[in-house]
Amino acid sequence: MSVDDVVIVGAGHAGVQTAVTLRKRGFEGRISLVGADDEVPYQRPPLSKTYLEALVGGEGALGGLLDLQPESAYEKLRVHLLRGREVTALDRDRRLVHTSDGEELRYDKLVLATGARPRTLDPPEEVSDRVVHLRTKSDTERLARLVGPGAKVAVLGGGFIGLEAASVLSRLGVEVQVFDNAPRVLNRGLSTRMADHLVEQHRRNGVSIHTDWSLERVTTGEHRPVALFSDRGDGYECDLVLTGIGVLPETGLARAAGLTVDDGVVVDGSLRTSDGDIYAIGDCARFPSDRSTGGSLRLESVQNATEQAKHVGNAIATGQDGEYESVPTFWTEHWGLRVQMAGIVEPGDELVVSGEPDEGAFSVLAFRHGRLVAVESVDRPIDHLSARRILGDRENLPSARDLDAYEYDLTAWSKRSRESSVREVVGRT
Amino acid sequence: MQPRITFVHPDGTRDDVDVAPGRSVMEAAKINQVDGIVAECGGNAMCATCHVYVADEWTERLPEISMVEESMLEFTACERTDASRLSCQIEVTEELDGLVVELPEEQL
Repeated sequence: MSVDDVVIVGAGHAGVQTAVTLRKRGFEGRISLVGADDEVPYQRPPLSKTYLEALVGGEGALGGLLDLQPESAYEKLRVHLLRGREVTALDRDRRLVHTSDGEELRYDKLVLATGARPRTLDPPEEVSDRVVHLRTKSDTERLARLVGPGAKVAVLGGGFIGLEAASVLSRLGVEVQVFDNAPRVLNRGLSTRMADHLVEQHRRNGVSIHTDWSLERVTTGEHRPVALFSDRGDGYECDLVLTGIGVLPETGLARAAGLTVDDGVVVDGSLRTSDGDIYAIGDCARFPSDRSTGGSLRLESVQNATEQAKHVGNAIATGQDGEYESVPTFWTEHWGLRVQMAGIVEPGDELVVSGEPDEGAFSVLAFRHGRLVAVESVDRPIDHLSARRILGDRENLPSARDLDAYEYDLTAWSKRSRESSVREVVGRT
Repeated sequence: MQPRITFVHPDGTRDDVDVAPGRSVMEAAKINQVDGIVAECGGNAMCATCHVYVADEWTERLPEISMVEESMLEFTACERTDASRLSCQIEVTEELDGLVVELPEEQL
């Protein structure tokens, strides 16, 4: 059956990349891209990094620097971009998507790139305008309007976004304290070794981090507009509460349409949902992967969104569904340190440090069942790019002993292993 | 007057942009909506996705390639040549008015 109409729900990194790849791979049919945000689709990582810094620091908006594609590109690519619209329902029998303004879009193939939404606090109304999260451009803009040098900010949740924002705000003269109910911060998606290193940077720079701190209530303060109280009764007054307490995959549409959902829209190895004409990609999708002990992954990252979009765009354009495979990568920034991560680290992985953490540049190598599974690097981009290559070659993952012989120099090992595999091929012919 | 930079796409089409001195060539492309530069890392010489080929007559007139940029250029998606640079590492100055760079087929 020929594919004439593709509808993409969600205009973030995944949705936009799907549209671009479809055209690049020669798809000539109609492409509709539906996004809830009013803005031209933009990149999200800067919202807690450079965009926040530019707005709070007074540099102003960054213009086109945030756009995923130039605004003119959508017309050039013949992508029907519907901004500021939600998809309200999915009719699988008639292959229709209903939008919030009453439009019906027909599809032959549908791509769910609905992303994730932040967990929220549901604060009392009198302080609700001072409890913010960072998911959209307007969230960052709202935060920037409410704080400036001298302000006090409580960051609730010690994950990547909360601590990234803490470092940006603190550097701009905002007093920041971080509160987390877990015994450690940065305990998701990062090795304990790297988490400790980053926490040390925060402490050294004057950010207080309170762990084992459970929020009891948010209310109006006496001296500042907002007050937070823990279950032990200790309080903190501030101008603004920034919540970074995780996200939930946007699965409502899929669930209502009867697709399989389990902390994410469940897809197969080709990223197809339980309906073969519907794909799910990016933050909202749970896909099979033996890089995780649990056998599946749902990742919140630009790289995952982009790679899955390319895979699906290619599959639809060519009619060939293949197995999706990619080395997951992430990055995060704190106090001028840029941490690049490749692979999936899990609690219990054996960690080896390569380089000199005290001097600033080092990598943490994670091994599971004796094989390299992940590498986290600070100021060692070459390690990171070599790690991507090494972890992409699933048949030849090195052991700690393999790497020890090369003093844990990933680039040297990678070159050696490539040379030797070339020799093997030559030997066989 | 702002220096003018020309980006040549793989299909031969050209984009001329005027950009304030102090910005990088990568930022010049992003601000002016020139397609074909990814700059995944935001301009830190850490991702090799803002790769450009500098036109012959300009290669000698650019600032030297740092050790970091040199090693990152090993990881570009398209072939690295003598003309290869990371555009985030080229700061636009008045002397670079008229610079021409070619964009590779792919960045990732």
